[in-house]
Amino acid sequence: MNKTRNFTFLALLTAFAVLLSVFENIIPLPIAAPGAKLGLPNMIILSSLVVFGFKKSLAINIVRTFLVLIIIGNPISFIYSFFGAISSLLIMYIVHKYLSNYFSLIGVSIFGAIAHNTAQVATASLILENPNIFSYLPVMYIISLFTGFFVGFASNFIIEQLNKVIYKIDWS
Amino acid sequence: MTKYDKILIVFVVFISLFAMYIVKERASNYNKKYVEITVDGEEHSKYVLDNNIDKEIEVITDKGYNIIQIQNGQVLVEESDCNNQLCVRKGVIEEPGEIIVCLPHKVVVQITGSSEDLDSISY
Repeated sequence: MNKTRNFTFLALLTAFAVLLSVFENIIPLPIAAPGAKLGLPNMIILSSLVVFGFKKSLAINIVRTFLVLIIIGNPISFIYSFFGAISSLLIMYIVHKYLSNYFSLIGVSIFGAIAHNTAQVATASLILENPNIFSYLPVMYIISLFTGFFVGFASNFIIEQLNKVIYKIDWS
Repeated sequence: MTKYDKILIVFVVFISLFAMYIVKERASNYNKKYVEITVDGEEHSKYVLDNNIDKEIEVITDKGYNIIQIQNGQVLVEESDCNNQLCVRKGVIEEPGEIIVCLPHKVVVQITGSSEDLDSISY
């Protein structure tokens, strides 16, 4: 792939991720815990991690969190989601690179979701100076099993399509 | 889905349930319960929590307000002008260790317990 194509692809994926972030902010969850989310943009992040590698998915992730900050305009939730997003991507990268013989994308995605929750709750308890916020964590772990499962499951399809498209472009 | 995925899922479920059990177990050792409200890490107010207290507290921060209600030994955030309303949707809490967080306003409502009497309490 040449540079311009590469750039266009990253921009498209970032746009998708931002769209999903805004979309999941609209959907109400049945469980009220701070920072509990469906993790829809993680489908894009996980797919780009597998297809394009760590650096590019990190770029998508950082640009996404900043764009979401501009669109939704909540600086406090930006801090939480920024640390959550970075640590989740780091964990997913490590698990995918070194343990992919053992874990499928579903496992990778669950690891990511758990890292995201842990980082968010840790950030929240640091900012509010209250360690009791960690008592939200067990419930959030259980939720992240479900969300992580479906995100990992869906990522398989996205990766399949992405590989097809890239393959096509390279030959045309 | 591989074998290790399933092991991971079972492991996480086990850990979470165990942690929930610990939190609950620690709560049952107390005979006195208090409602503590903190704003941005600093104590705002503290109340005794028992079945006879009926109170409405308005917490005003520089970001907005939360109206907290204490009734029948239960605490809830009745109203807030925060953007995500998670504190309102969390519902009632009543056991030590339980906590309501309003992240946008940095307001924390938590129930603490102790097994001894305190000298000064604001009613």
